[in-house]
Amino acid sequence: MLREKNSELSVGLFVLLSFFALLFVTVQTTSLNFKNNSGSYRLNASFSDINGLSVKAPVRIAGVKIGEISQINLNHETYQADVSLIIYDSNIKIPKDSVMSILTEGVVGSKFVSIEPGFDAEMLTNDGTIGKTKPSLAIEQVINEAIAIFATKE
Amino acid sequence: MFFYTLSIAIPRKKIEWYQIILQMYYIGAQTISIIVLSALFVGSVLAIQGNYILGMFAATDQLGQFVALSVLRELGPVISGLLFIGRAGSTITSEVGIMKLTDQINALRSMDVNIKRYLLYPRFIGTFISLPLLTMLFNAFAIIGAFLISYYSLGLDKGMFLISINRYVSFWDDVLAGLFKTLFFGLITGTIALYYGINSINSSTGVALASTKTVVYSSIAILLCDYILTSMLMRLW
Repeated sequence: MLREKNSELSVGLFVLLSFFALLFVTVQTTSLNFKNNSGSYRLNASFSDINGLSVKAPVRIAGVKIGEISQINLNHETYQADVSLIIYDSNIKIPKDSVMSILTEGVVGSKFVSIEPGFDAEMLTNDGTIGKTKPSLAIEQVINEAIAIFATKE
Repeated sequence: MFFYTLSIAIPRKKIEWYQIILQMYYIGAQTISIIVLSALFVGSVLAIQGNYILGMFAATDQLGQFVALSVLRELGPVISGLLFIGRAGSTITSEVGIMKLTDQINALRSMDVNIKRYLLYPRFIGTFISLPLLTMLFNAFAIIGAFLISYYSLGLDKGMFLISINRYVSFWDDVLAGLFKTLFFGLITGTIALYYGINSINSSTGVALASTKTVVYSSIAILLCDYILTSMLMRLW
């Protein structure tokens, strides 16, 4: 009888331990950002160059992640990249004259979108469009400009 | 074919719950120690090798991602599957084979016990449930092993290790895709082990041969199945 109890106990422990292990891996891989979709809203913006920005890239204000890129499409008329992004929390309101720019983490890191809040009293609502955007600076462009500047100096 | 006969043997009325739990104890719970131990070493080795490879690109910050992706996507399911075959698959085959050799199966049959329901099915279900659970353990302990080595032995930053896992490892594409594969590995191992056990030749050499065959064929089958499943999951087909 004792033997039976022992085996039942260890099977229970085995299952529990395994699920704790799965929980551990889950917590490590997801940022525990159980975003409630009810409170989130969508914004649109178009860029002249997104240069490697990808879907699910973070959206940040002052370095804090507040949302992610949900869709990237090419606009057939303007040849601009139409980007839509999800802001997780509807309590985070973004002024209408905010500027969106694509920045890079570190020198060769991945791209993310940064929003610089403006001073307009009017806030963007769901499906609103941010008018002012700054395209991503490609490292090649920067080098070309630097070479041009040095060439004129001489 | 044998898988088919096994699956139609799934009892409709009475399930031997106690037998299933007992088999999960023998198959799963007693395999924990070797799974955990080898996971720690696999993780440590990956950390050391990854540190060497990533060091060439001055990218040792990404070690966590390197280890987690290799373990979760490939090494976790495959290595725990292979260890599981060695530890549990051979045990099942020789146990069933010896039961057959010593006429225990005939004795049960003469007492009108349903062999499939009482002997084979609990072992099959035990394998099927245990292997994914063991893989979860393997995954976690391999990452823990890599973390400990990279922090204490290689002197890397522990925050960057965890952040790189968090940022680049996806739960659906990496963690669950890996565990999805182990479901198939469990089916394969259980079927092959029971097939060779119940069909072993009635002699001591026959049982030994049967457990060798189990180990060899299910290892090959797992690796082949892994290739097929991975190319399907990566949408190469």
